[in-house]
Amino acid sequence: MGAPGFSSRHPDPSLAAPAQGTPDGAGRPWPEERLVGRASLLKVGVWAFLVADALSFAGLLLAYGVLRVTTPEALWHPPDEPAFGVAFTAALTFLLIVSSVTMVVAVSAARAHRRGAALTALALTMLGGLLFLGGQAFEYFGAAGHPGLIARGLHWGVSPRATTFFAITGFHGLHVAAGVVMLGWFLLRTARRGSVAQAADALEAGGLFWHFVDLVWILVFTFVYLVPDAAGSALPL
Amino acid sequence: MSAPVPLRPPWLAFATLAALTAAEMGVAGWSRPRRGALVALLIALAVAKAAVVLLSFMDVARERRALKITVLVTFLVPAALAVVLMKDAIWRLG
Repeated sequence: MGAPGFSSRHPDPSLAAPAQGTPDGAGRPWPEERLVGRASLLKVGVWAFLVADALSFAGLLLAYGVLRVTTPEALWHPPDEPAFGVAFTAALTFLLIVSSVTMVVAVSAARAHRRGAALTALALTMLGGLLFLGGQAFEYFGAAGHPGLIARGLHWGVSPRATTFFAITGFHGLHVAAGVVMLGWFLLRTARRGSVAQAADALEAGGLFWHFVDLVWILVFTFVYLVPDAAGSALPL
Repeated sequence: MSAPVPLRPPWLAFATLAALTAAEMGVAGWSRPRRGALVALLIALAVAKAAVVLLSFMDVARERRALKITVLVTFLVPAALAVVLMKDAIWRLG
C-alpha cells in the first residue's frame, strides 16, 4: 500500500499518508490558513527546522567571533599554521551557488510536469554537492602531491583558529553530505515514479534545505576565509 | 497533463550572486583601506548575498508576513548578540 509521490508509508493501510500537496489524497488543495497560506505541513516543518539550524550555525559563528576578538594574535594564528586558500574556496562557493540555481530549476520543472528536466537538474544539483564535498576533502587532506591543510600543520585543538575552522566547516560539510543523500533519494524516487508533479512539494521542501546550506556557506566563507585574509594579522576580528 | 511550461532559471539572482562574490574577492585583495571599513564592507556583501538567496531562491519575498518576521528575527538575534559580545572590538574597528 502506498500513495503516489513522496508520501510516507504508514503501517495501517487505512491511515495511508495522502499524496504530497493534498491533505486528504483526493486531489483537493491544502486549505487556506491565516499564517502559512497553502504551504504543506512538510514545508512548514522544514522551515521550523531551518530556523533552529540557523541558530546552531549562529552559535558557532558567534563563538568564532568572540574567540577571534579575545585571543591574542600569536595564539590565534601560530606562525607555522598555513593560510587558507581563498581563491579555491571562492570557486567552491560559486559551485554551491550554481547548484542552488539547478535546484530551483528542478522544482519548477517538477511543477511544470517536465520529468526529464527535473531529473537532469536534480542530478546536476547532486553533482554540485559531491564536487563541493570533494573540494572540501581536498582542502583538508590534499591529493596527488598537493598537501592539504592538515599535512601543512592545521590541527584540531592546537589553536582556536584551527579548531573553529574544522568545527564550522565540518558541521557545514555534514549538512552538504546530508543534502547530497537527500537529493539522491529524491532522484531515485522521482526516476521510479511516472509523474514528477506529485513530488514537487517534497522537492520544494528539500530545495529549501539545499538553499539554506548555500546561504550558510556564504556567511562562513566571509567570516572564516575572507575577513582574516583581508584584514591581516593586525585586525582584531 | 498540462502543457509544458518554459523553465526560467533565476538568472538575475545568479548574476547578482556571481557579481557579489567577485566583488568580495576584489575587496579581500584590496590593499588595506581602513580596517573597520574593510570588515564592514565584507560583512555587508555577505549579508547582501544571503538576502538574495533568501528572497529569490528560498522565495521568502512571496511568503506570508509571519514567516518573513520569523526569518528576520532569526538573523537579527545573533547579530544583536554579536554587537553585545564584541562591542569593544566593534568600537575599536569603527
